[in-house]
Amino acid sequence: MLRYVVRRIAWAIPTLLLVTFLVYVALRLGTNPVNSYLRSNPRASAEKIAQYKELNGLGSNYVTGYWGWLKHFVTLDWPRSIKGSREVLPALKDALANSLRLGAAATVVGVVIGLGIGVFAALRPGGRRDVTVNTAAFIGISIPPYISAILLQLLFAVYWSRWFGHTLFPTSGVYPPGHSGFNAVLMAKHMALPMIVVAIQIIAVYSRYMRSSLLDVMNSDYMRTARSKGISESQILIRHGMRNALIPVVTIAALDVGSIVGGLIITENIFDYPGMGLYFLRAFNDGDFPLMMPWMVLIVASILLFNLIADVTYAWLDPRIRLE
Amino acid sequence: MRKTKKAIKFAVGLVALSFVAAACGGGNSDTASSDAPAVVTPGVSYPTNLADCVNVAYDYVKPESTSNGMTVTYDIAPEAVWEDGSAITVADFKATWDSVLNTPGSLSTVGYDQITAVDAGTSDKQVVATFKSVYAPYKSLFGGLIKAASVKNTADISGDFADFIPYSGRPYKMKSWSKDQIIYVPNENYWGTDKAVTKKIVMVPKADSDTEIASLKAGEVDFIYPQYYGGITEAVAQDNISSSVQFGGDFEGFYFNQKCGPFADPIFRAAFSMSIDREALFEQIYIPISDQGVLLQCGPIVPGPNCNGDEFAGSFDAAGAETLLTDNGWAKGSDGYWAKDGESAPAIRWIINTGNTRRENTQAYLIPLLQAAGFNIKSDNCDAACYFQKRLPALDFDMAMYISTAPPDPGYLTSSFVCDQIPTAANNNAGQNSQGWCNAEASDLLYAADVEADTAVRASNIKAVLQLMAADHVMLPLFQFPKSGFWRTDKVGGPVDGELNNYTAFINFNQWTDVDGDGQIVIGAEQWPECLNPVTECANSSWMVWTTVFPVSPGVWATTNDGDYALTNLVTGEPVVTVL
Amino acid sequence: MSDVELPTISPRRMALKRFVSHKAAVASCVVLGLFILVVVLSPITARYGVNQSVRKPPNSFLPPQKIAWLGTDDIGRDIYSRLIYGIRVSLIIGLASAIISVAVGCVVGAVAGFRGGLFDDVVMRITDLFLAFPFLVALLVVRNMLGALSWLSPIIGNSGSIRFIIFLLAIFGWMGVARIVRGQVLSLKEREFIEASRAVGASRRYIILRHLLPNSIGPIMVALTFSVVGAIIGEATLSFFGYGPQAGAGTTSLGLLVGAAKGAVQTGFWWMAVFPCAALVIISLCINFIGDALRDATDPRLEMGQ
Repeated sequence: MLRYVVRRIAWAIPTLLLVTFLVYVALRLGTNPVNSYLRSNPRASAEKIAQYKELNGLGSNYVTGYWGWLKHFVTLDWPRSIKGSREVLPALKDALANSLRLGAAATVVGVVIGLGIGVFAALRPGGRRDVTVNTAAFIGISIPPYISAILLQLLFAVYWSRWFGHTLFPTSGVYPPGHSGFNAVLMAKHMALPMIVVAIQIIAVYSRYMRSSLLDVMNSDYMRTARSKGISESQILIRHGMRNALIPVVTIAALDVGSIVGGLIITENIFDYPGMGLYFLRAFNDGDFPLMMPWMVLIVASILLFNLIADVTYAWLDPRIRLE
Repeated sequence: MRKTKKAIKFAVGLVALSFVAAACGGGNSDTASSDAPAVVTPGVSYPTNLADCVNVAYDYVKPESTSNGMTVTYDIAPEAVWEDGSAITVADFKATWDSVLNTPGSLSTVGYDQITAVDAGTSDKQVVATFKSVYAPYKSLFGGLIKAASVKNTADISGDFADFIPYSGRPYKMKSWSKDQIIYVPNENYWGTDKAVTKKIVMVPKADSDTEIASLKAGEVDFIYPQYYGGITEAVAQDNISSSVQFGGDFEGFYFNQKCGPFADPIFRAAFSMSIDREALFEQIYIPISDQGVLLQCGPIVPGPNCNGDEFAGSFDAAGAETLLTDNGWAKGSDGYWAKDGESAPAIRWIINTGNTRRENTQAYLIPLLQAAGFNIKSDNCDAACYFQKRLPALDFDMAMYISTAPPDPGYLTSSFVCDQIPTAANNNAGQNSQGWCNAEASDLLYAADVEADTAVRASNIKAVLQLMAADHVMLPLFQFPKSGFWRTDKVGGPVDGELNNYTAFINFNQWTDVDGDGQIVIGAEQWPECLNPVTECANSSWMVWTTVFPVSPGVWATTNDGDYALTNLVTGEPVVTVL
Repeated sequence: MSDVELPTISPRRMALKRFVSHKAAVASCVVLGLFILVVVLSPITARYGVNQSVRKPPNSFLPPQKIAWLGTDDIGRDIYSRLIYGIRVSLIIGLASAIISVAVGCVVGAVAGFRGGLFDDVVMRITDLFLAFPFLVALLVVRNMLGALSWLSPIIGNSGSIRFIIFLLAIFGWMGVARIVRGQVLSLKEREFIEASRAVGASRRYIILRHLLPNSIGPIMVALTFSVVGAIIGEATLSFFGYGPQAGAGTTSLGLLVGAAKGAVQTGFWWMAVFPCAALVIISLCINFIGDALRDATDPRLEMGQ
């Protein structure tokens, strides 16, 4: 088991370097960081320009440039942003904290409810509740998140306050305006609407995965054996069915970090929630290379990390894999 | 073995491909340019593409100033103090002048570069500013003082005020600033009578109009100041929301680049301009936005003492356009477009910033009409950063459409419309005349207006310039934008609608009352500053100055809601102007 | 026991039968067919031009009525006609990019699955990583990068054009198809008829083109269906952020119409939001149902089990 993990980690590091190099090339080509800097600082001295180029690894050669950037990156000597000349690390940390909270809450709620609904539907395949669940899940997948976000915003913030005189869930931000300090209740209230929007997508996807995975398992040979032994249906479901049905679901769950971040971008945009998604959008719209590179590295590293965790969990759940 | 070799070749190819892609990107090909710049004289050939633009030069010479200069003497009120009780003195005036003029990255030194010295008069509560020539727009100077004691080096404040402004000479002072909110609390040492009424003012950023309207309706913010668009009144309709619409100094118009490109030819440009039915356009695009709007006829200025109100009236004359073209050798080709002497029809690039629905609608409405009239016009849009910071300054367009803000003093016209402010090699391509309009008479008039102390003479100069602009078809004015404020009547009261038209926008929030008793008034902002430095790049945004600089910086003259200047309580009386 | 002749039924007929038994999928086919018919006959079915106003001003924000069946937008254009033109553009983008995706994906997936080895490993790692990356982020970054490569624009158009969007979406689409085809090829690779072909000395290309791909038609069609809906939603998302086909260019797309819906929700002009959003949801729903039914119909496991 340990050898398996070590092997996977050994693969991950060169992959991280290669992918961040490709991202570096893509961002340099697409956003032209030197021009962006000159536009924001039209009267910068030649010395400041050279310093900016050096910190960001913007030499004319892409490989040495990347190497230069990497050196500054790992020593945490990060250049300031182009727009507003701000420190990147605190901004990134804040955005990450906000998104982690939102993403984790939405994933937990979404996966639990989704799995539950999937099991609920799989118990009686083809029946009325199966069809209803299936159709509802389909509709959930087919509605783009920005449409559901706006409708929810309208319902809970605007109409609710009109009918009941107060807002149930606020429409934007992390805390109400004018608030300072930490308050878990307020934070939860502000997170509720974006979390619901992201969770809807997750529920729609996971209920279907769980349902089909569980159906596959329930019809397989070893389950028939268990039934013929006289074990009760619920015992079968819990002890045998779930564990095996979870395998493909877990794989999907891990690889889905990317799609959760993608969903966050739209949701955070509409709800003005200052997380990773909004961070990226603003940096991208401004063509702010020093802001974007650390963000990209963080995302790539998370994806590789989650892949690793998924593989390890997969191997733990299914002993056959370990022996590869 | 063979498989491995082939795979390695594939991987190498992939990496090589990325290098090739990288190497091929970037660098524009340089076209070979001729050695001597070509001086443009009408009647000859016109530079038709961007590459030719580089070679264009103008032989206009700015008229020598004949005055010996002037001095302006300001008497600071003895009780005027900063938030810590220290007196406001000549040192602060000097600091302001020094930092605007000398800070690297300073946005604009216009005006302050006319001052040669700022000295104390009879005491350090009297300031004597010496100008090298008569400078008519002097009232726009020293409108926002910087506290000398808050910076180490007044000649370079580019590193200061990154995320906080510690000083204040106005009713409120900044308590905290973050990228999520600004908090203002009353300035106890403020000497004026209009002290802060509400104990806490909060400003928060809202991503866009939909978010801020939703916030207002939900009661999360108390007041918003959105940019007007069609449907906004319906969107905000709610019993406890009140609104006020006034017409301010923002105006939108079409601008034609005549330095190079198809509009360098005055006949073609005139015919094109005469083919645009502004009245019909106004009815279709702008009336749905605000049915109280009136088509702007003044030009690049809002109605006031410097404009008669009819300079651009009657610009539409389709028949006249056709006659003009046919009389000068143009004829419609087989593709239906006007072309001269058998050449191909000139292509016109109309640029706007993407994502602006109103401008996109204008293109969707007007382009088919213009194409039917025989002009090969296409849309050529790019995003806001590319538009305002790359294409416009580089004159890389034929027709543009944007909003300008007119400060009360018409001095801003000079830098935008005189010959020697056209970006050319001679001024290092750093001019603000992005229309490329060079009319010697108009330039002389504008420069004369700047040094003319008599407001009536100034006004007639400006009016003459506007008429020349109309005759030369430099631009087409469209719409004076409404300034609108929306607020919750159950949360904020007082003179909320008092200063919405002001260049400094809702500046009177020190007199607003907190109706719902939550101890604060929350204002939603459409844009958020990246930094709070009042002289460098960050200050190029209206919202930045409205939310951070204007509320705390004292000044000699304040703009009024009617677009004029009024003295503030910083000075004891009208500053004395002495022409040397 | 009498000699009963059991009617034999080919796998293809069986798949069709299974497909038809999915009532939702059949209904989706009908609805989608209706949409396509209306769009193809747009010279007849559309009542106004794409930028034509229904009458002289005032014509903005008119509710559904006789001169404008689905109401008008902010400058008086007929939403019904614009919806037809928009759906046409979006369907073209969806189909074109899906076809390109499937063509490229089939080739790469089949070769990777069949040859295996390092090529397969590298391709799978690359597609894995790309697919794991947040779709929107990758889309925006690649869009900017492609737009910056000036030598590419004669081939794929400039970044506001429909050609560019098709190309961009195809770049992302082929990877999902490649994985599906690869999986199918992997499972078919060890079958006897492939072994037999190899024993006879058939070239790799022959085996792929004549045996593997035709036997993977089922999953390929499923992949095609989901590529189409993925491309349509992708275009809608790009337009939402302002990076889709440019509005000023004289055309419109479903994504742009839905993007305009965002501002309409608060104003009470419900027709601007409801009809484009409903069209998008219905179209993607139908295509999803069809793809799902296709997947069930061509599932090889069901083939063997029953």
